[in-house]
Amino acid sequence: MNPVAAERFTRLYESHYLAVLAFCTRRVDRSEAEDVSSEVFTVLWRKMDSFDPESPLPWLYRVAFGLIQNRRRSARRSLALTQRLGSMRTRSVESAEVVVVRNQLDQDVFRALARLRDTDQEVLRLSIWEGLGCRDIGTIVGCSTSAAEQRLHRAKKRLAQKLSPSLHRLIPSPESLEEGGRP
Amino acid sequence: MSFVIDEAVEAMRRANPVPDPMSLGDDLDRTGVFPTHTRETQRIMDTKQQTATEPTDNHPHRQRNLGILAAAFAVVIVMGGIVALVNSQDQTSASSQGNEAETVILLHEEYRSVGDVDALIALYAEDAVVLNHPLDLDDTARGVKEIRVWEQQGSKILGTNGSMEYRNLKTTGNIVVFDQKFVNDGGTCFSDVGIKVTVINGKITLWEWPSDTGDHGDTCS
Repeated sequence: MNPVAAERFTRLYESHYLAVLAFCTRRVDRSEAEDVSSEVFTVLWRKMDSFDPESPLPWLYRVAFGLIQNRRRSARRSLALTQRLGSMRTRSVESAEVVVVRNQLDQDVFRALARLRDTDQEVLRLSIWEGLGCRDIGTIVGCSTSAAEQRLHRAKKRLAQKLSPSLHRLIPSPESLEEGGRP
Repeated sequence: MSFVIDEAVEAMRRANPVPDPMSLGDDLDRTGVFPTHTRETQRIMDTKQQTATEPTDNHPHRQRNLGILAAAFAVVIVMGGIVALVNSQDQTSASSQGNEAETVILLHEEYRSVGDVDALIALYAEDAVVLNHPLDLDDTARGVKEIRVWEQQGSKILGTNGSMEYRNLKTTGNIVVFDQKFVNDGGTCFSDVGIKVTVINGKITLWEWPSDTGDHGDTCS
């Protein structure tokens, strides 16, 4: 590799390693996330001489996404993983009551997410957790921007349908508050 | 419903297992996996880049030559812009054709998921053709009457609680190539790679299943 490419690699690694690691940690457990992140940058290292995307992060996410997909063996394993991730969270600054309700809701979110189609899960994660726009989401999951928009809209609706009972149980709707009723 | 969607999105946002990627850096610094010289390296690199882009020669003749070069460059840019504009009009047309084709396929996925055969049939042109259906290879369905039989059969196999999705959509003009995976009520998995569909004027005119029957057992993941 020529020195300019090596310098670019270092810069990309230092700028994006944590984002890639976070992306992976949201999908697989921590030790696997570190393995996948290393693989992502190994792929980048190999392609560095010809690497010139408009924005590098979606490209890196796409590689990570592919590597994680290869590693996934079954939906059952994925569910177990997301549940484990849910139980890993701590929020020390919140009151005990809020933590209990939130943890319950987090578990429900992970359960609802695991019941969605793989593509729905992924577009939701990319939009809500990674904060990506539909153009980048399309690049990563392999469809056009408008298709990504449609998928995201439908995925949100499906998530809401699956989560609806939990939301009504745990969060009062504006209507019920106006009526002075209980959730 | 919009309240529920907003709340669901907010609930998922709060459930983010790694809300702040930078928090992962602390662990890595301790374990020595992540380079700790980031800021210093960044500063050195920034300084190098700045030095490289600073003007170094202010001689008057050189400046005049640069002015001529800049003018020539501007002419080239304007001409390039005109050519790009003409090309972009063609590309916009191809892109909207591709979007339309992809939208039809996504609607097909949606209607098949919910088992709405009438809505599915409305996506086909009257004289549409389906080739190599995996349930009866080498057979061909011509026209919406015959295609309805296929779609009914597909919906029956998927069942009421099955799940299905189209993946890896690749669109070229009005042709969409994609894979499908579906799991029926009984948990049996079906997958097909490289389904090719031609869409003309918003209607499916040709649906080509791959000649290989795909994975129709319980092993696809």
